[in-house]
Amino acid sequence: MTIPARVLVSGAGSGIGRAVCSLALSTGSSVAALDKSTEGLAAVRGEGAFAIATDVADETSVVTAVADAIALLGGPPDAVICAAGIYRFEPALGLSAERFREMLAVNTIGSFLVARESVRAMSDAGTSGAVVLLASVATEGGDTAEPAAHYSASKGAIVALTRQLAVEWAELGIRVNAVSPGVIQTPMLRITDDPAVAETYLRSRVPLHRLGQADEVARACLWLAGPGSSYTTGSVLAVDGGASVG
Amino acid sequence: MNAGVAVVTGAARGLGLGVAERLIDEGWRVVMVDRDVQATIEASRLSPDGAHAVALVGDVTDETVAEAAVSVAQQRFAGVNALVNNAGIGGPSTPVHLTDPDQMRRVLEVNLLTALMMSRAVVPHLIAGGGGAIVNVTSVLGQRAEAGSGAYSASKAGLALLGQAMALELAPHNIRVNSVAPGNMLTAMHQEHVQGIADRSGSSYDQALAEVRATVPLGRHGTGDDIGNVVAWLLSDQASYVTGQTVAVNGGILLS
Repeated sequence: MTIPARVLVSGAGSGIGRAVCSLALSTGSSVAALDKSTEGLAAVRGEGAFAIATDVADETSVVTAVADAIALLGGPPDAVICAAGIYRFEPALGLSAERFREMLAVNTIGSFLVARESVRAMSDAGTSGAVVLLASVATEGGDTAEPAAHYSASKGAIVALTRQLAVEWAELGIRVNAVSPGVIQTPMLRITDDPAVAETYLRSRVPLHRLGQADEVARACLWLAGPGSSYTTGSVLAVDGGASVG
Repeated sequence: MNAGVAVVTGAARGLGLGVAERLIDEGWRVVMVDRDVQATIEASRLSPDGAHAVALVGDVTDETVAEAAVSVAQQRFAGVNALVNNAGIGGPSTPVHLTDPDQMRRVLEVNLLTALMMSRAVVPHLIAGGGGAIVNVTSVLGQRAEAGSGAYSASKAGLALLGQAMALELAPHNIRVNSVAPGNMLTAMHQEHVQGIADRSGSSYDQALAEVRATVPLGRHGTGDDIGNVVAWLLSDQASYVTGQTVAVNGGILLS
C-alpha cells in the first residue's frame, strides 16, 4: 500500500503533531513541519523535516507557511494533519471572551486555515489528498475536574468543520476526517500531574485501563490520511481506549 | 498481534471476500466461513494449498458451525486471534407494521444473533491467548434508517451496540471490538436493492444505480477492498488504542 509522499503537519513540534511527523518521516514521506516553538522546530528539523515557524492564530503567518511548505515539499501536500492546539482549563464563570477567542483562534480557526491554504493549493494543482483534523474526547461530555468550556467548544467545532469540509471538498477528491484522542501521554496532559487521580481515572473511565501514546494517535491520523481509508470521509475516529463508550 | 489467524463469516462473496483477500495479503491466515457452497469452493482458490486460508461451508445460524470454525483454526493454524462478523442478509422492504414477524426474526437471527454465537465460540480462545480483536460489519442503515429498512436497520443498530458492550466487557482481556459501517457498496445485496428501486420507479437499473451514486459525496460506490482495508487496519496493532468505535466507510453519504 502506498503512503502519502508529501505530508504537512501543524503543531509538529510536540505531542501528537510531533508523533505524526516522526512516523511519517520513518515511513519515507517528505514532511513539512509547522510549529510556533523554536525548540520544537529544531527537534523536527533534526529528524529530517522541513521546519517552518508558524503561528496558526495569525492568518498571514499560515498563508506564508503553507506556501513555503509547498515550495520545500516540491508540490502540494497529499496529507495534511492539523494538530496545532492549546489546552487550558478554568471555570466557565471566570472565563473571559478574550480567553475564549484565543482558544478558538488556535484550535478551530487555526486548523481551518491550515486546511484551507493546503486545499487551495491542491485544488489549483489538480491534486487529490486527505485532511485530518484533531477533535477531542472532551466533545463527548463535561468535566468538573478540568472545566474547559472554551476547549470543548473549540473541539466540538472541529467535528462540525470536518463534516462540512468533507462534503465541500469531496468533489475535489479530497477526504476530510477527524481523530478524537482520549487521554494521551503528551505535554498537554494535566491529569497525570497527580498520579493517584490519573490512576483512578484510567481504571474507572478508560476501558483499556491505560494512557494512550502519541504514536497510537499518529498511526490513526496517517491511516485516515492514506489510501487505506479511501472510502471514509466526514468521519470522526476516537482513539481513546474506549473512553467514549465507557 | 499482527497478522495472526482470523475467522471471517460470510467470507466467500461480497464484502466478506474483500476482507478475506485483504487479510491474506497482509499475511493473516484466514478461516473463511460461508453457507454458499459454490461460492465457498471458488473462494478456496484464494489459497489452493490451504496454507493461507481454509474455506468452510456452513450456515452460522447453526451454532455448531462456530465451534467447527474454531476447531479448523486450531488444527490448521494453531489458534485464533481475530473474528470478523460479516455474514448478513438484506431485510424485507415492507413497512414495519406490515412485516411478517418471521421475516424479522430471520434477519435478526442472521445479522445479530450469529455475532453472539461466533463470539461465544471464539472469545474464550482470544482470552486464553492473551488478547485479540473483533470487527463487526454493520451498516449505514444501522446508523440512520430509511422507509422500508426497519428490520435490517434494527438488526445492524443492534449489532453496533452489541459490539460496544463487548468492547467494554473484553477491554480488560486486551481484546478490542470495533465496527465497520459500509454505505452503498457494489455487492449482490446492493444490486438487488437498486433493482428494487428501478422496479418501483419504472427506471432502468443503470439509471437507478447512477442516482444512488449521485448521492455519495465521493461520487462512487464502495468496494470490498474499501472494507477490507479498514478491517485489516482495525485488526492490526496500528489501531492499538481504538476500541468500541464505528468506522464509517460510506463516501460521506450520511452528510449529504
